[in-house]
Amino acid sequence: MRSLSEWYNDIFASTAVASYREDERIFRTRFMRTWFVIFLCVVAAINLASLFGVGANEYHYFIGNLILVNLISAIGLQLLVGFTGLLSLGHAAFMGVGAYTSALLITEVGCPFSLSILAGGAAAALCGLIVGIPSLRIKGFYLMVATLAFQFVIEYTIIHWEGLTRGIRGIELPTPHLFGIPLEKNQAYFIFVFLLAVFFMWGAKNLTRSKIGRAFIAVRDNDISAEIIGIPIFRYKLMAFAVSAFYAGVGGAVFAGLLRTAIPEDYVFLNSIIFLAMVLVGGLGRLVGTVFGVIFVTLVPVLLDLLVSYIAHAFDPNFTVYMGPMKELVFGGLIILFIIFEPEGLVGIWIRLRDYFKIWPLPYISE
Amino acid sequence: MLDLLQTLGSGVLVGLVYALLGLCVVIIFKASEAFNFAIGEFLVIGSFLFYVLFFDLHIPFILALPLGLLLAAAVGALVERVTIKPLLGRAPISMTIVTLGLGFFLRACVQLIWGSHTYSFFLDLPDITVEVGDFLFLSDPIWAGILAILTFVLVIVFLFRTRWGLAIRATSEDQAKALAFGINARFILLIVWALSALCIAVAGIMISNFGALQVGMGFVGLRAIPVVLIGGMDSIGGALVGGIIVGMCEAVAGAYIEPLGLVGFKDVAPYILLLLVLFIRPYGLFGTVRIERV
Repeated sequence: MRSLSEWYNDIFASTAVASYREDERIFRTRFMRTWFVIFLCVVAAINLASLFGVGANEYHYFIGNLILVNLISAIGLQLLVGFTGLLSLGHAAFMGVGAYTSALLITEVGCPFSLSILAGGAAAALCGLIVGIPSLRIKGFYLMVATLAFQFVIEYTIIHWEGLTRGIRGIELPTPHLFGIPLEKNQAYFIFVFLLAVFFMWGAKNLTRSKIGRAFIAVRDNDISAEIIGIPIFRYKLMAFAVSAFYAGVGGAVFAGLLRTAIPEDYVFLNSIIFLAMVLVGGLGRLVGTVFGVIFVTLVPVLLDLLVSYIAHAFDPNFTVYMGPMKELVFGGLIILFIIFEPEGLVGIWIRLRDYFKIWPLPYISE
Repeated sequence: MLDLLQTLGSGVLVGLVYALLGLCVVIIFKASEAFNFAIGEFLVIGSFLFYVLFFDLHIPFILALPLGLLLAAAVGALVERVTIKPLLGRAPISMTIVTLGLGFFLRACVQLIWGSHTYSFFLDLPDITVEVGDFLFLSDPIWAGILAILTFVLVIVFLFRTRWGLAIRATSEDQAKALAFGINARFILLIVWALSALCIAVAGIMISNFGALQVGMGFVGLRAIPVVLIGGMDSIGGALVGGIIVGMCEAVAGAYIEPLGLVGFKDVAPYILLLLVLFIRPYGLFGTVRIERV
């Protein structure tokens, strides 16, 4: 007969684990697995409900799509910044490469949507390998500047290579079809992107708990010791760049499919900073943190939009001109505040809260 | 050939202003190992402060210039106190990331205060246009070059011939040792940021004088990145050489490559040069080569 405390421990706390394998499980406690299943059921229920016209409408699904697309891309940046310790200021450029590759394949070649997403990811990964090459000789700040230069070169190429990218007018896309099913409504697109995001999250989680992920973390923590214990660091840095760019490319392709257009201004330097803000606000080195960060940072402009349009409606119609600056103010401010006051990000706050309630009402657990 | 010399000459004059921007980045980097990405926004803020004093309040130039520069220095000091000081002792890269956020934050502030439209900006400086033979150098770029060089020299004199400069150099060399010798390293950081903001304001006023003042001008500040990386992140002389190289590269790209159909190539040419330099000489022309495993 198991005691009550054992039962409690098994479900909620699970502080003691017997083996490394157990420690590295995707869901470490039954509690977590239960919550994940509940989460999936809730998403399914919301989708079913809106089929009958109850609850979420198309706009809500659009916001949901935005979050999921950003999530796919931000996981890539998290793998690069949070797990391998390489900073990138060109993440939006990788997204642009993916978006334009996919858009061009669809409009010029007539490639199916599903294949074009993969091709977008592959093209971005190739660019990632090229950007990663300087890491052979430089690291830290210098590498960050190399990615910044890449961002500007891609921005320039997209805007000025009019023969291919049609410049600032952008490329219009037809309604994406997936295996013959049209994804015209935002809800249909949502189901597709949701499954894709879960798949990519699962992929990233598995990557981080495999040999490759451990090598990434070793490179991040101390690259010299990593090399001494036999990790070929250059290969793993290149791999991190390629994987990160692949995620960004897929995110970009799906983003272009969501908006039905690929325009240069979606892939500018500011967007690279926004992705960096998502990862930093969420918390570095934790994949769950990315989810928090992405939801938070994506919803901030949406809420700002609501606030500004409310003020414009109620008081001063000219107030909407402040929308752009206020967005930048909030993003810049978020980066500053989180770095100064909460370097561990939202996930740090979450872990502290969880630990507090896990041992409640005791101040700490005596072993 | 004459054409090329003319182009290079104009490039050098603009390059001197870039060199001043590079210097501002270098002194902050030497003191705190952080790159200041908000340099473009300091440039715009400095110009606007001067604009308000000179054009709006009609204070005479000889008074408005030092007053505007001092105000810009005060903004720099304030920013340092609020955002940089709490990060002392953390990884230098976190300071760099904070300046990225700071850049967008300050830009938004400028937009909220002064709006994003264009302000006409014209300083009535004496006309010193040089016209010798087939060469023609306009008055504004010459003034910009002269003032940039003057500021550059003043900063170097300050750094190498005064007690404060000595303290700054000591802190840049080794913070812990400087503290042990009784130098207040935290205060030094404040001075460095104020000095840097002041010099950026000089460059900003010169650049505004080329055309007009607008919040989007902050992008010129990013030109400091190729300047310091080509010259070397921790070399003051390197900033001068890097600035001139970037200025010439831009002028040549504008005069010879853009007519081939590559509109706007002028703006990316320095970054392509920067990528090449990163491949060949990662620590720039005059930067200290750090012997470390990569």
